[in-house]
Amino acid sequence: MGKFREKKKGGVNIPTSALPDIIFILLFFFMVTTQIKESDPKVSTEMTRVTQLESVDDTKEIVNIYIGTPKDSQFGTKPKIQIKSKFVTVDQVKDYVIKAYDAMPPQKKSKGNIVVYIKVDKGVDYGLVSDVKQKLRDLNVRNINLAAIKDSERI
Amino acid sequence: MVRRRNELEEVNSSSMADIAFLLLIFFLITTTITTFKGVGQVLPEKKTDLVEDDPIADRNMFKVILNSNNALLVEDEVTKPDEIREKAIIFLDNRGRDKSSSDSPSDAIISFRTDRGTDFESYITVLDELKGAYNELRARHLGFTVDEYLELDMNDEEDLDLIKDAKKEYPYTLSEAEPTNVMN
Repeated sequence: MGKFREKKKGGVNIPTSALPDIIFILLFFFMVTTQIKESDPKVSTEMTRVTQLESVDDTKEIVNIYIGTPKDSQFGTKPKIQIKSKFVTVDQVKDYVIKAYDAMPPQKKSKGNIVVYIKVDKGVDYGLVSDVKQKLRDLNVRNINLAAIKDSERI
Repeated sequence: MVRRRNELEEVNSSSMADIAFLLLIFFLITTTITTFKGVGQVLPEKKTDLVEDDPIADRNMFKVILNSNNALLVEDEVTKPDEIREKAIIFLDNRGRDKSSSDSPSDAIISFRTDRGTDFESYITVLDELKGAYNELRARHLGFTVDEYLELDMNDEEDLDLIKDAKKEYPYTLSEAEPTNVMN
């Protein structure tokens, strides 16, 4: 009985001195993997399911372009192009690509190191996408990637 | 109060975990693990008026037309999108057996014509199937499944050699014509 009482009295102390270290490791993991979104798409970007997916080489400079119908109907119902957080015209696309090119560090400054990642909504007419592609071609920025998601039902 | 030299002052670190927790929660919330995945394309070089392409024999040309009603015409036959891959594989890997089809995979050209009014979804589905045909042939050439081929790592030297070998055997020659202008 005496023994039993003794146990009740003494609380068990879990050493917590290593806790900050564990939390810091987790913290660093998230800090390294985080990419703070530069903008939220203001247009619908429902992607198509495809089978032959390729990842963009993330050592390259990635320029994001969204093409879709505006989510907010005050901007109209026709498909629009969005770069960063602005709606742009087809002709303005090149300004943004050149800006991205100018901002590249000198040791890898080359148009071959730019990948334009275009997120296009399913329902958009191909003509608009083709116009953007043509502009990029004129700039000699030739690596593009059309966003899509994996279709797991087909091979 | 007199302090001895070898006695170190201890910083109270019990709140360190709390601070770290706050930072951790901030990053947890703001994190979006984005993966940039899609169908890759390399656009042709800038147009020059001077260059005139060599004429291509009709048998080496695989004509794919996708119109503004998203109807698919392959070699003048109405085709469903899921049949196009098989047809492209037969065409690309003909190697002169059928006199009306391609001479060799490197001579074979796929010509893909679209319309401005074609839905992007149909466009990318067909493009994906054509890419699939190439990838399947390349994978077959290396003795892999398509999934294994797609998982090859470009940054790994051994894998890169394999990819180069497969690409040499089956070069990707897809020519996209400027879309016609029939809007619907």
